[in-house]
Amino acid sequence: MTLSVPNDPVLSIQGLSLEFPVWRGALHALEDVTMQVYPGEIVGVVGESGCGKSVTAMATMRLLPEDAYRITAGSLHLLGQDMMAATQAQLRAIRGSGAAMIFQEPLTALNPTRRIGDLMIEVIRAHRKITKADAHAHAVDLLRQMRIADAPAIMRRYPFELSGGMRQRIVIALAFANDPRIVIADEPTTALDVTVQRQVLTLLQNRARDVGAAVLLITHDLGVVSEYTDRIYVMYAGKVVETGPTDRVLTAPRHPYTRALLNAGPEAVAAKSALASIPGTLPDLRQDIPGCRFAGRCALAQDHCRTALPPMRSPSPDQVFACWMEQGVAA
Amino acid sequence: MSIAIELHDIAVAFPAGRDWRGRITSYAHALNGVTLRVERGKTLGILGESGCGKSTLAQVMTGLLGPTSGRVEGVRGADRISIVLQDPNSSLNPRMPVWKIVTEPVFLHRTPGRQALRALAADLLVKVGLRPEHIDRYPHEFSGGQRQRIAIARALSSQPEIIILDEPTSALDVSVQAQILNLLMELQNERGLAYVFISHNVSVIRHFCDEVAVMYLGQIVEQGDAARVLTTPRHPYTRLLLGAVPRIGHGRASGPLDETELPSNRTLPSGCFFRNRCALAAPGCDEIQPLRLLDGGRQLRCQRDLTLET
Repeated sequence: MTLSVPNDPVLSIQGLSLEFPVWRGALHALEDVTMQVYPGEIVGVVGESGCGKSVTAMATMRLLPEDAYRITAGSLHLLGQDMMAATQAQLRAIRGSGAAMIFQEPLTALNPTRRIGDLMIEVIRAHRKITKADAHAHAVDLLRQMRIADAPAIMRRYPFELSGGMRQRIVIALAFANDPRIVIADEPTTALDVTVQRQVLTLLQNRARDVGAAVLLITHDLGVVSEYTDRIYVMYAGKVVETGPTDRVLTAPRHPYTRALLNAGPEAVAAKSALASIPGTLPDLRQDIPGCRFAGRCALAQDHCRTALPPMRSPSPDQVFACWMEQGVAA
Repeated sequence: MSIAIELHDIAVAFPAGRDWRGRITSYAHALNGVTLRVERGKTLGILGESGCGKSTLAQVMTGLLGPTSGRVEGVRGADRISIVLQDPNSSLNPRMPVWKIVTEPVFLHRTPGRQALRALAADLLVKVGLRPEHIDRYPHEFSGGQRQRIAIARALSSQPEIIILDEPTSALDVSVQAQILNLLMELQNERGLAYVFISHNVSVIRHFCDEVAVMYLGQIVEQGDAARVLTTPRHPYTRLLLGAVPRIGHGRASGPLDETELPSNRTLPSGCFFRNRCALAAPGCDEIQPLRLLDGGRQLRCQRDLTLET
């Protein structure tokens, strides 16, 4: 199931390099990241802590503190708008309207001092000139779409009165308040239990399908991307190391890191036997790394892997990986 | 086979609401009659979602919390039972050097002198795969996985018989989780430790544990051999839980959506606790369900038996 929609991408990141200035240098958080999200598709970004997936999400909406980072190369277009050149007014018009964001922890995403209804009405009226009564009706409708049974009663509640799963459903309802064309969800279910995770992700997926919105789903959980995304980007230490249709990348990974990540899970080996951990740790992103960023932990690394950037290889039109080995780790 | 620790019908209720005179008006029922035993050299997994009482159970086992009713028998005392907590960022004192953190459980019982403690700390660090010359460093100088190794070294220092592992890898990345689980398995083989492994992660429990107890609302609903319970679950809740785990390479999510929510533990449901969420609820489920013993040592708190029905 490939979705090479001939439309313009709703999100287009081209060769983006981003760094955070630190004492006597810079932390290279993103290096030459290229990503596209087309209308209506669900795209996953997977990787471990420190791989740059949240920085990518924050940069997409230009939510990083303005004086804390530098873009050193590349461009970022969200709904055709150059986000790096956008004015504050242009950013306000996009955020919460054409593009919406869902964060990990729903309790911190919702204002604790305001009732759910007041919050929703405010968000709706920030982008539409409608009366409070109409906004109220729209909010109730949004909550019903998220299968919240007693929507008018929930509108009168405060966030602390609701369960984690219910709060995240409200956050998703809010994200869809102004008919977004893309929703960026940064670890939306990491704080939730698995049974609730399934409810929330299924509702998110169905809602996106119904309104034709694209979703950029950022997670560390390979099971989640496997069940809920069409395409994925695998990131490691600030770089995209492999991308392609989800089922292909997860069943026939080409990059050594993707394979190592899949093999490290307890599902990969017999019970009680030793797990295939990835030795070593992330490289220090303050250093200049001339070669492949995974080379230090890669069992197959050669000398040139450490000295020169690996080429991007494309075994099929939609799968791309960055490795010196021509076929990658394909069996 | 000998028993390391045994719990008999443990119940814990926390005061949850008070009236204007400070009298307790309601309780949160965290544990509602838990009976289980941990064997020496074996790993018992406790599987459940938030609020099922698994961390309260850990506190009762370590003696940090006295049960409201019920008895604990077997290994007691802080030097014989250790605990490794979920988040090594908050469980290690940031103002203490590693050697002091690691030897604190020993220091609290006897004071062998600074040099002896430093030597012990260096030994322990080697055991958990860290460098002995790092004993003077502070927690912030280590990565998350390394910090969890320090927490494990601390748990080992008093030569305990049981280590309670309360979600020891849920704050870690999978590649680091694999390192920590491997280390824990090595230490168990070497020292014959008994582990109580508390987790919400089904695949980690299936991999790591000999036996598993599935908890729901402060009760064990199903218990038995980990591999068997987690491949052929017989309680409807175990089924719901396993069905919700996203799996790699099984295609897109499908199947009916469960829309039920966990009931509050302030007022416990009558009869079977899972009844209101159970698709298979039938007459008789409004009776209190005992934990009954099935073939192969499996215990099940359900009047029906799913393997026989579906």
